[in-house]
Amino acid sequence: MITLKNVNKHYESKAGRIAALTDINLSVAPGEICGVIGKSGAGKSTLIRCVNLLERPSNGSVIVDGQDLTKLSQSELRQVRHRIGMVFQHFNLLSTRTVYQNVALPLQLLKKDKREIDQAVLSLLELTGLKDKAQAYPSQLSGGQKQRIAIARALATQPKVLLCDEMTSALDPETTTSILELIKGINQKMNLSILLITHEMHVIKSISDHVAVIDEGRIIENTDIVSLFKDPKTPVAKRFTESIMSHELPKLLSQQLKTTPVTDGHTVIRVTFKGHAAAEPVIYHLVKTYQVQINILQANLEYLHNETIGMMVATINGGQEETERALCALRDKDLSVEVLGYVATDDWVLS
Amino acid sequence: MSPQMIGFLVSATWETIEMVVISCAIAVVFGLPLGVILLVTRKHHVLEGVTINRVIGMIVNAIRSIPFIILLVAITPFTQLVVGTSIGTVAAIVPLAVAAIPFFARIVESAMKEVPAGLLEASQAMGASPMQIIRYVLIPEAMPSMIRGITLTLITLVGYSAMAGAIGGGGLGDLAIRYGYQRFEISVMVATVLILIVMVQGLQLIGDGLANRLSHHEN
Repeated sequence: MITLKNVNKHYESKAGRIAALTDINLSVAPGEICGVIGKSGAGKSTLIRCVNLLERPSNGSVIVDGQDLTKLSQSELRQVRHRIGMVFQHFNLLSTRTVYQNVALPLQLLKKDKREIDQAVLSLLELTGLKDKAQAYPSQLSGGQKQRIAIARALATQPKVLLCDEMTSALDPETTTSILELIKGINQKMNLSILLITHEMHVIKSISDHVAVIDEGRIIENTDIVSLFKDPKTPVAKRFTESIMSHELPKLLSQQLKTTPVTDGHTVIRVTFKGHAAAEPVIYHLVKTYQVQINILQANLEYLHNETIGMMVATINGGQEETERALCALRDKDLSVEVLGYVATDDWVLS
Repeated sequence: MSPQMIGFLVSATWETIEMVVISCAIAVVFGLPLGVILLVTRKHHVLEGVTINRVIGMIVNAIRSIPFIILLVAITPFTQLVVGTSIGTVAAIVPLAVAAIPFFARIVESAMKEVPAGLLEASQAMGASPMQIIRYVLIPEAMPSMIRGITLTLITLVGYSAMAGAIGGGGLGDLAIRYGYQRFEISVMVATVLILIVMVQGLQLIGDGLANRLSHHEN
């Protein structure tokens, strides 16, 4: 539905040429939610603005619904933009128009008649749950309500594509969740293709099918959401996945960590669960079969679509042989096991 | 105060209102499009046109830099051409309007410049044409500020209209100078000043009220 092919964007400035986007290749399939994540200044805003040509790429092509937008005239481009909805971080609602009038605006621009506008606006306000606010002004609404209006407005012309630019970045966590649910629902109900950009991993995690990581104007990872969490290939991607799955050891423990085995000590391991293994009683099995003591220090499970991804940091206490056998058993279960180090029992008092 | 003098005051008040309101209306009619052009032809704006922006900007600045009392006299031939006379209330309206048009154009420009860039971006993303952006976004969103601008223009014109007495324009300023100042009739001076104060206060009150009613901003 959306394809960016070899898109480059650079700005000329007095200091020389500044590259904002380099060799961007990205596509969003019909009905798919694609998330682009990056730090601020990574180029994600420029990227999403290139899709409806609010920013014209320096070269490369932008294909939306089979049409290369870079080849269109201004007025043809305006026609296409009517079929691309866009939602912004700061809502961008008109302060002098009521909620109803804001949602009606895109239809007025298309010179639709009053009855048609009325029908469309009311059903959109119903969809976004703000029918009773139709006559209110944006200043009387909360951030979440404003974003709902902005979403309703973006959908007014029944677009096939929705662009979301840091849609939830100005909202609190609870409101973010409700907005994301709304977007997910719309995606399923209308088979809308959605491209969203964000710097928040949990936004990607909750609704994206597909994720691209952007850094310094380049897409450095482009994969499905589960693979990114299972196996982030770049440090930047790793940091993003870690942002919701804390991978850092507690300070007290990391200070005591030794690189060689300690007699009668604990082995500190990190186990990453993927898929089915996460549902199995792995720990119970180890304790029962191999006679080792396991103490869980940290654990986190994330549910992504139909898959489960988990991470656990634990200490194993037992004879060297038992410990070794237990680790082998874990590896046999297709879990990735990493030995982080060893601590002496005296140093690491388990309370 | 003699009944005759009260009659003078009433007709002078009426002349002032006439001059101010008509010249302000003309200023709005010509200044609004001029202000819109000044804004939208800026670099990176919806109808970028650097040359036209510079030319109009220079003309506007040139007129605004001429002291009104000099403008009044300097454009007498133009006034003669437009209204067929260079003396009287109607003749005073021409220089008042000429001074007010660029003044109001700059007010329109700055009022519309305050419309958040995000709104322009959103309307462009919706497929709005430059004319639609002006009509549906810039003008309505800048309306409260522009109402305040009209108030400011009216009040400035009340002041300027006093100088129009110099070309026999009549009005309260003229009356105050001829009777209050030159003939030492303190009561006339006081009366005209009071009327002017009431007029300005009233304009400000109405303008603010209207602007606040139209504005739906937070705060």
